[in-house]
Amino acid sequence: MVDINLHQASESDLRINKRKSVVKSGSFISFALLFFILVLYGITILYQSSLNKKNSNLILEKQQALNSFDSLAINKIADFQYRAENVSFNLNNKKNPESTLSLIEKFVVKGTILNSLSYDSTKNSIEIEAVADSFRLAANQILSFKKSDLFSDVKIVESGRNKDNQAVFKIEADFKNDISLK
Amino acid sequence: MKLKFLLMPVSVLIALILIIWYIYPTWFGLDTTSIKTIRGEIIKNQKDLSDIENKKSNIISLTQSINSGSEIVNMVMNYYPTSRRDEDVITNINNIAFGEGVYLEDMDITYEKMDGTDDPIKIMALKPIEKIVVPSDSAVVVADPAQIVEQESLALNSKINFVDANLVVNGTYDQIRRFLISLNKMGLLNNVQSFTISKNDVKATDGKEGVGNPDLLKGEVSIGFGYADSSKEDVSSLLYSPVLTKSDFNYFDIEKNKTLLVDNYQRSDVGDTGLANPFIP
Repeated sequence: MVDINLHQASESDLRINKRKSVVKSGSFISFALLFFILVLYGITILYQSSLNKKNSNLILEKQQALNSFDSLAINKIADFQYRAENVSFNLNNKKNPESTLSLIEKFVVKGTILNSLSYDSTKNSIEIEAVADSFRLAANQILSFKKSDLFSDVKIVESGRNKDNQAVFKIEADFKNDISLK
Repeated sequence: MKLKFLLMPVSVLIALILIIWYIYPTWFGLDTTSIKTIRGEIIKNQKDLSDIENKKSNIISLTQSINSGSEIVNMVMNYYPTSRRDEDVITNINNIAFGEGVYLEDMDITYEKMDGTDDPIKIMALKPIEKIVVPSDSAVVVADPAQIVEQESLALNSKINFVDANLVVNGTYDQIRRFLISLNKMGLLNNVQSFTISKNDVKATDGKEGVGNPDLLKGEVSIGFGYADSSKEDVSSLLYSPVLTKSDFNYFDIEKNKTLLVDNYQRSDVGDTGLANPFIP
């Protein structure tokens, strides 16, 4: 005996199936995709324009704030800061004549008498003119400066005898850069 | 039916074109109009605005600190002034010579200006004035390669001036030594640039050379006393000065040398004035 299905689909079942088929249909997906992309496009344009506006306002606000600075006050502050920094810098970095003299005093060979002693802080060098009983002492003096480890270059620039037959010689020497004369 | 069949690929194609050509670059692109860049700019501008507000507040407190007329501010302005103070230079050199017992034979004063190529450290023991480097991403447009900054720094150094005093003193070695040490410690910004101590060619009254005290020496000293023109810089670069990020000046190093700055300086005073005949004492 053959079974016969007598069940009939209700109206609502038919509507659902129809809707499902519409949703599943390619044209719906296509339109939905286009709609979504167009919405995204619109949001992008609107968001970009609102950000641009916000940024322009900020730039304007910043420019106004920059223009409102008191130029005189800022110059006064920068000027004072420069001076304050240099007070300490000058005190801490200038060459102290006492250091130079103490070092030279320490390395003058006994038996040698200075005629003159010069120091130039820009060249950081000394020049001495000395008198000694013999040229041996002149050599000793050069050696004393060389062995002191204070100078990068020690050289004799002039030598001879004076009317009392004493050896007279001039020495130039450059202080090494790492020697502190402060 | 055929059109319906094409609808899907066409809409996908339109979507892809819009995403690839417009939407993605607009959101995540690197050009100046992209949302990513604009948001970055906004964050930076908001930070700049906040910095500006902080700087404004710092400027108020720093200005108050300068205008307070406190002892330390006066000390700084006195040590490194904005103008020549010849009278103080002369008064203090004279006082030191007198105090150390040397005879001030000569004092020759000239005015010097730091040349662009001069080294402020060597000549006056001063820091070179450096041009403030404005950040390249700042609001201020600066066509500012390092070369320009260097040139402007050299120009700024010409603001440094100094009074060059060439002194000749007579005295014993010890007196001249002490004179040099005291000069170096004078409470006016200075730098002993060179000195020479030599045997004095003193002639005795009978004309014979070398007679007299063998320790009577001649000292020749060249000393510079610095001053600098007031700052008149463009505010756009000064805004990036590090000092504006602080609410007060750092006086620590100056406090350490306070005694030296105060004790070794005497301000000149006018004394009595008014003579009926200025040509007769």
